[in-house]
Amino acid sequence: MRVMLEKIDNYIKNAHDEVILWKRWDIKRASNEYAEAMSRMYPFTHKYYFEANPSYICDYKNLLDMQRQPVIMLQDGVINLTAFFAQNYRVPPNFKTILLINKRFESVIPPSWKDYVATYEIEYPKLDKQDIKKIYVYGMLVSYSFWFQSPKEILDELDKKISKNIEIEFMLPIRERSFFITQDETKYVTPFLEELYERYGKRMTLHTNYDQLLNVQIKKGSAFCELVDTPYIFGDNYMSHVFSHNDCYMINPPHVDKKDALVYPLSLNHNVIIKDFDKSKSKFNEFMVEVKSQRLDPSPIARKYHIFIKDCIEKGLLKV
Amino acid sequence: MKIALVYSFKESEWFSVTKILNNLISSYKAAYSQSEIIEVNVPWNYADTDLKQAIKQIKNENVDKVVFLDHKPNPLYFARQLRVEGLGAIKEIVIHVYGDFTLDFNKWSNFHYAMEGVNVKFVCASHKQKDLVSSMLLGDNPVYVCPFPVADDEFYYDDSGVDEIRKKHKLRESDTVFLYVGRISTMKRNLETIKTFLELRKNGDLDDSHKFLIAGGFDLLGNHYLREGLLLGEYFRRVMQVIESYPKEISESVKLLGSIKNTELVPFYNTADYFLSMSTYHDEDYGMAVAESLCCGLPAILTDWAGYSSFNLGDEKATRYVDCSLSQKSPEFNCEQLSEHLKQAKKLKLSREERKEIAKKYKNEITVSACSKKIIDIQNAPESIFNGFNDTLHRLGLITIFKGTPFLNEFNNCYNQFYYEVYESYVRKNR
Repeated sequence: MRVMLEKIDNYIKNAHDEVILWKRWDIKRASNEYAEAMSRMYPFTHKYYFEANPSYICDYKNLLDMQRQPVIMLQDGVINLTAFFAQNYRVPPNFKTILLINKRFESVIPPSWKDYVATYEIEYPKLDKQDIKKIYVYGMLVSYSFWFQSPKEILDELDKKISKNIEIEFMLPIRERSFFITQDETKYVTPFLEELYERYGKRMTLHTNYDQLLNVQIKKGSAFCELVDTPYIFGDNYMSHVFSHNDCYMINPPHVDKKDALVYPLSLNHNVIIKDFDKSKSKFNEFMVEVKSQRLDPSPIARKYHIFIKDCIEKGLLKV
Repeated sequence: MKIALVYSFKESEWFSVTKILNNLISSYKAAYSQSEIIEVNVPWNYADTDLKQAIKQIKNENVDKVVFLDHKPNPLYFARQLRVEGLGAIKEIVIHVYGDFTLDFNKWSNFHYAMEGVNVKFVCASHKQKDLVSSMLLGDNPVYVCPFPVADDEFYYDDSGVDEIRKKHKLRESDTVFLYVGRISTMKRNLETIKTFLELRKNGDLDDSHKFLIAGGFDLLGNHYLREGLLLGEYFRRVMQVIESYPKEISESVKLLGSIKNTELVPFYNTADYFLSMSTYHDEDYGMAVAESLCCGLPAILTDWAGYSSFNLGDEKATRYVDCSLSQKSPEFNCEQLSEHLKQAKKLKLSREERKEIAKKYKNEITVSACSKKIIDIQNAPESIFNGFNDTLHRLGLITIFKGTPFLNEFNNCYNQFYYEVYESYVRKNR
């Protein structure tokens, strides 16, 4: 399988504007509904640059359109990826693109895709010194953040991660509607903010306007962490890259094993690590049986499918 | 005489602006007694009440001169309010112009109508910026030059930290070290400079004793005038692609150091042999890092562009220049000239004594104490009635309202004729 990594390395090293998605003038999206739903997750789903084309499935009209890029690093979360592979569990004939999938979703890759996928992980700057003066906590106050935890539980966990006398800046955009325009998300906001003010009061700064989040001046040398892990819609969060670029450190970053891997710096502080897909880790077939047994249309823009994924995670059928 | 220094008390998001502002304030304080100066806050996100409050303070103190020190907000808003409330005892308005002058044509156009007939002095940080501003003024309004000052005790010749830096970065005494400090950005031409350096290393024109240290963070600025932005990480990856395309033993001679705290820069300036910047950034009306490095006695190889040209004090040991020209898509520096300078660098390395002399010379010109004298001269210069700006500026102001960027030819995505008219002064030969 070394061949696969060599191929990817070759594509990345020889990339030019023609094969870089964000340099194309004719980007055609899957469907307006899907693309708009993803864009309501801004700025977490905002685009950044890497020659392997970090992007979302919705950024391509179809599988044919995907093949204009020799390599695509999919930033999607477990909902979008399972839907994509459930719809395309067989690789289309003469498919020419290599998809890089976030390693934590390795189990949802169909074994039949083994010659067309590799995995990636992001190695974030690790907090290894104690003189941090400020911490940024970011996340979205929408239903996905509260799928498995109450506001109290989320903040209890956060309290364990950060010391009492540190300055905290929360970046928690509030949107009336997020992925589904039919679903009111505001009901999650009030109980969370009540709990937040109760605990942090004047100790914190709070940003809730999604449009202004990228204008917040980031203090170099600070720490950052996600409010709660939400790998459902996106698995590669834009804000984590912003902080890494600004010389900030992630609290408890996942350990990344770089053995037999390609390593590319994304900034002076963080890297992307690309490895071969380990077919033995795939649990796709079991998952597909469940999809079929429920006679479910695996559509990333169907609310029913999102609920189904939530149940699968709860039952342990999907591990992320 | 009573002078009001008007600025935003809140720090700018641009680090260099904060430094410039503080050093300008220090220069005024060194030039005048405490009783002659008042400080007035006009925040960038001012409300009408802030302006009224500021004007009230100025009038209560019987101020003769109002000096705008900050780059934001544009003096227009204050000037408008002043017109409404009457000038009172104010005899003159003095404006320190920043590199963003060309981003605010519409505001300057309106400033014309607010302040026409009033005594106004414009102060630029460099001669080419002065030429640019002068070319847009009506009549013979004089424009003055006062460099953005360097704090007297912040940057200085001192070789005590050299050994430590050499040890940390594996530099030998015999090495020829080029240093860049600042934002790493498209218009700063870091990529092209690295490429030129590495090509010379590859061809054997430079040997492995030549090192290029680059300190600073990467930004997202592309070419604003052509509406070319960058994605997060784009410039970093493009620079890395160039560096990684050379064999390791060659690419290792370029070192990206990341951001270095301002307070830790002195030993770097004293260790390096040359400051190297090929910037053609449109806001480069001065060059704070160059000024600071020269005050440490570090000679510079620079583009003959905008504010950089003013660092030429006629001493070729201190500053060597590379010609620039305006092309259709971007200003360009002369690559052959740069190559020649790099090739000659080892032979022309200065002794510690010569560097001490450079530090002394520039400290006499661009530090807070040196600039305070220039400020007194400017304030004492005869008052001159502001006749407003010329047709070109008003036209550019109008274009800015409608399409944001005044210098874009939308038919071919290149610069338009206005661009060449305005920026011609930035590439004019200095030597």
